[in-house]
Amino acid sequence: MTLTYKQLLEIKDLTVDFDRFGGKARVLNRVNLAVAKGEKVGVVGETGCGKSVTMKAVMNLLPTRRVTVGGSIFYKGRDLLTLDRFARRQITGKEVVMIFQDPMTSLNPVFTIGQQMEDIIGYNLAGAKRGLRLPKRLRQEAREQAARFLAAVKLADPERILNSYPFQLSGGMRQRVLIALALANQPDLIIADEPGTALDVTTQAQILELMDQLVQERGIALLMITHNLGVVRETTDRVYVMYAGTVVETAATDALFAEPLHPYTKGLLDSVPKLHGQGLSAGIEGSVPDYLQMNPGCRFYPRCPQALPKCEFEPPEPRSISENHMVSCHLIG
Amino acid sequence: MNSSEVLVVDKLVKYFPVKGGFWRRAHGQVRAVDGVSFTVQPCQVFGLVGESGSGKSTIGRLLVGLYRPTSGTITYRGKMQMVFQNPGSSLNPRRTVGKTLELPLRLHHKGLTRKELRQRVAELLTQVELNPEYANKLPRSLSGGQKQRVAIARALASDPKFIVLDEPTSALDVSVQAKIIKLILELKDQLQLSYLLISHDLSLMRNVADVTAVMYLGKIVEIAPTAELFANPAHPYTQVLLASIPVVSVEEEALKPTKRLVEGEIPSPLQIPQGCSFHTRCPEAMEICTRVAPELLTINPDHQVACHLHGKRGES
Amino acid sequence: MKFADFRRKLAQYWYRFSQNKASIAGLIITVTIVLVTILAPYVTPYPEHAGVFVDFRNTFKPPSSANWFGTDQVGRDIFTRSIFGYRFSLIMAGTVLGIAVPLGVVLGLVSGYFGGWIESLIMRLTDIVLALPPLAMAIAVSAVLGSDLGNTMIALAMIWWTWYARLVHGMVVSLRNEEYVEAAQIMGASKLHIMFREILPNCAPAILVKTTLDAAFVIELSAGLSFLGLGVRPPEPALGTMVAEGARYLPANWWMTVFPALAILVLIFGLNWLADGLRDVLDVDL
Repeated sequence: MTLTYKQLLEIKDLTVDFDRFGGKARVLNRVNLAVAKGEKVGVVGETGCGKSVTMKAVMNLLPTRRVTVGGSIFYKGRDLLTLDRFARRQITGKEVVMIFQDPMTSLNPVFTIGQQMEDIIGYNLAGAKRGLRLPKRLRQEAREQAARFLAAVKLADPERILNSYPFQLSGGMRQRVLIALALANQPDLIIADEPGTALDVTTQAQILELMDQLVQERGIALLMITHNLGVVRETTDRVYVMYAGTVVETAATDALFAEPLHPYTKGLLDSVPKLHGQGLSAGIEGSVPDYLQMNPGCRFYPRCPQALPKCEFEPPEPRSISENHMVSCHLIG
Repeated sequence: MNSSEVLVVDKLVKYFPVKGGFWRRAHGQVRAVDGVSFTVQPCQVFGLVGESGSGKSTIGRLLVGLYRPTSGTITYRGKMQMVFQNPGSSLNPRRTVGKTLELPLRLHHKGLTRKELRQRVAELLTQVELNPEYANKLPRSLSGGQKQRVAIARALASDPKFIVLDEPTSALDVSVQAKIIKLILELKDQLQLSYLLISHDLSLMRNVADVTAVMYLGKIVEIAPTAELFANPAHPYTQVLLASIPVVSVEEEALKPTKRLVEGEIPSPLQIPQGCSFHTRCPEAMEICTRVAPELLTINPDHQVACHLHGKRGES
Repeated sequence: MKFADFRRKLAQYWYRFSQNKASIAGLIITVTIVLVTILAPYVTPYPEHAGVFVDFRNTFKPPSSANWFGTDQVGRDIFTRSIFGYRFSLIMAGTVLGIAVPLGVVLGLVSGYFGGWIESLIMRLTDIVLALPPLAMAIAVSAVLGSDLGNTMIALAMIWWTWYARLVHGMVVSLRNEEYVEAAQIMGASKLHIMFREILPNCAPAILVKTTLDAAFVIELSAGLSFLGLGVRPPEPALGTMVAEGARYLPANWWMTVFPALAILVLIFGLNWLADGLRDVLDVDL
C-alpha cells in the first residue's frame, strides 16, 4: 500500500501481544489495513481471528495491563499510538466512532434516549467543557439536533423516542438509535462491530440498507467487522480476510467473492450454506489454533488442505496479485 | 397415528400467562404457539424457520416435554432428545464430558457396570468423531464445535428415534458449522433418525431440511418440500425472508425474490394483530387481511400456504 | 483427570491467585493462624497461662523478649493468651457457619428449584429472620438461656443461614433455566440429581467465597460478644474479653488492649484478602 494522505485510516504492521498464563500470545501479527475517505471496508473472519482486537486498538479500548502494542495507526496522517490520551480522545469517539454489536448493552438503561443524546450533542456544542451543566439554550438546541438525527435514521415520531428508555424500544429501534448517536458526532469514520447480528434477518436487512444510505449521503467512511460473509458482500467496496491475527487476503469485494485465492478464504466461502442447496461443503478441518502455540510459519498451516512443506516454518509475505488484491500465501506468486 | 409417521403434532397450542402486580395474577397471555399441526416421516429432516418470537423454539421445548401444551396433541414413537443452541451453556461447566455422557446411559440402560459405562462413553465419543480421551476433560477446555459434538453424543446416548435440533450451529463459526451439520446428517442415515431442525438461517435450511415450515407469530404460514418452498415461495412473508438473506455469490442473488423491504419489526406476541398477523407489515395486505385470519390451504401437492392472496378470491 | 492435567490446572489457579499480592498475604496469614491455633499448646511459650494461673511477680510487664506482648494484671503472657484466644474465634466461626451454610444452601436450593408456594414460604421466612440484628439476637438469647457458648452459637447460626438461602436461591433461579439443566430434565434425571449434582456444584464457588468472608464477620461478632462479657467464661481466653479487661488499664498498660485487638484485626484482614483471592480464582461475582 502506498503512502498517501488519501488514506483516512492506515494501520501499519500493527502487532498486539497479550501476556497470558504460560507466555506471550501474539494476537495480532503485523496487520496492515487502510480505509480511504468515504470508502466502505469490511473485515471478515471467524471467532478469535483478531478483527475485534484490531478495532479496539484503533479505538484505544485495549486493556493497558499486560498488553503490548507495536506498529502504527495513522489517522489523517497522524499516528494515534504516539498521541497522548487527550489528543487521542479528540479523535476516537468524535471523528472516529464505533457502533457496538449489542444495541441493548450499549445504551444506559436508566436514562432516556433524549438524555443520552443531549449529553453527547451538548458536549460537542459546548466545546467539550466536561462537568459543566449545559445552559438551557444549548440543551434545547441539542434536543432539536437529536430529534433531527433520529429522523435521519428513519425513526418515526422522534419526540416519543427521545422520551423513551432503551427497554421500551425494540432491538431494531435501539440499533437505529445507536446509529443516530454515532452520526451525532459528525464523524469521518464509523466502525461497526457486527451490525445487526443480534437482530432478525428482515430487521438486519433494513439496518444495513439504512447504514449504507447514510454513509453514502454524508461521505462517511465505514469499517465493518463481521463474521457474516453475505453481509460483507452486500455492503462493502473492499474487504480484508483475517485469520489467527493476520490478514490473509484483501481485495475489492466483488473480486474476492468471485475469485478467492487464499485457501482459508476459499474454505470459508465454501462453508457458507448456499441458496441453491447443493448440499454443504466439508468445512475446514480442525479449529482456530491456540495463540500460545502458534505455528512459526503460516498460521493457517495446520488446517490448510494445500500446505507446502515450507509453510510450516516460513511465514508468507503479502503479495500483490493485481492493483487491489493482496494474498499472503506461498501457493500464490 | 398413521403407521409410517414418527411424529404427529395436531393443533398444538401454548399460551404463557403474563403475571404482574402485587399478587402475581395473570393479566394477559403470550400466544407463543397458536394451533400448529405437522407430521414427520422416518429419516426426515423437518425444518422450522422463523424470526425471534415466532414460536419455533417453544415447539421444540413442547416436543421434548420441557413445556406442557395448553391444548393439542403430540404423538411420537421411540425416545425424543434435544440438542441445544448454545454450546457454552448446554454442558455443565463443572462436570467432565464423561460424567455428562454417563448420566443418560445410567438412566436408560440400568445395571451397566463401571467398565461398560466407560466403554459406551468411548463409543459415543468416537461416533461423534471425538477422541475417547475427551471423557476426562471439562467443557471449558473444548472448542465450540467440540462441545456441540458432546451435546450430540449426549442426545444419542439414550438411543432416541427423534432429535430436536434447536439452532444447533448458530453459535458456531461457518467453517465449524459445515462439519457439525455433516456429522448430524451422517448420524441420521446411520441410526435411522428423524430431526426437527429449528433455525433462523434459511440458507442452512435450504441445504439440510427435506420439508420446511415457515412460522410467524405462533403459526405456520407456509409449508412445503424445501426445494419447492425456495423455488416458489407463495406467502409474502416467506418472500420477504428470502429477499433479506445476505448471500455470497451472484448466482444466489438470482435465486432470491426481487427485493422488497418490509416496514417495522415483528409485533410483540403479547399483542398479535387481528386477522392475518402479518398484515401490519405485508406489502400486499388487503382489507380482508385485517379481519379474517387465513387458513392453511393447499396450492400445490404438498405445498400449503395461509394467505388470502391464494384463497378463493371471490370472497374478498 | 490425569495428574499432569491436574498440576497444570493448579498452576493456572495459582497464577490467577498470585496476581494479587494481598491474596497471598491473606492465605499466609489465615493458614498460619489456623495452624498455630491448633498447635497452641506446643508452640506458645507459656501454655499454662491459658487457664487458671497467677504470677504476681510478673504483673503488668511491658513487651519484652520474654513476653512479646507483655503480661496482664495477674502476670499471664498476653502473646500466649492471644493465640489461645484465636481458638474461641475459630470454633465460633466454624460452628456457626458449619450449621448455617448447609442449612441455608439446602433451603435456597429447594426454594429456587421448586418455586411456587415452597419458594414463597422459605423466602418470606428468610426475609423475616433477616430483619433481626445478629448481635441483638445473640444478646437476647444469652439473656434468656444464660450466657452459654453453645446457645450463642446456635442463636447466630439461626440467623446466619438466611444469607446463604438468599444467595443460593438467586443463583438457582437463573441456573435452573440453563440448557444443561434442561438437558438433564429431558433425559429423565431425578430432582435430587439435578439439584445436587447439576446445580449445586455451580453455586459452590460463590458459597466458598461468601463463607470465607463471613468467617471474618462471625469472628468480629464473637469478639464483640466476648467484649460485652457473653460467650466464653473466664479464665478461658477470648480476644474480645482481653480487649475489654485491658481497657480498664489504659493508657498506661496499653499492650493489654492493643495486642489482642491487633490479633483480631490481622485475622479479619487475612480472611478478607483470602476471600478476594478466591473470588479472582473462582471467577465469582458476589
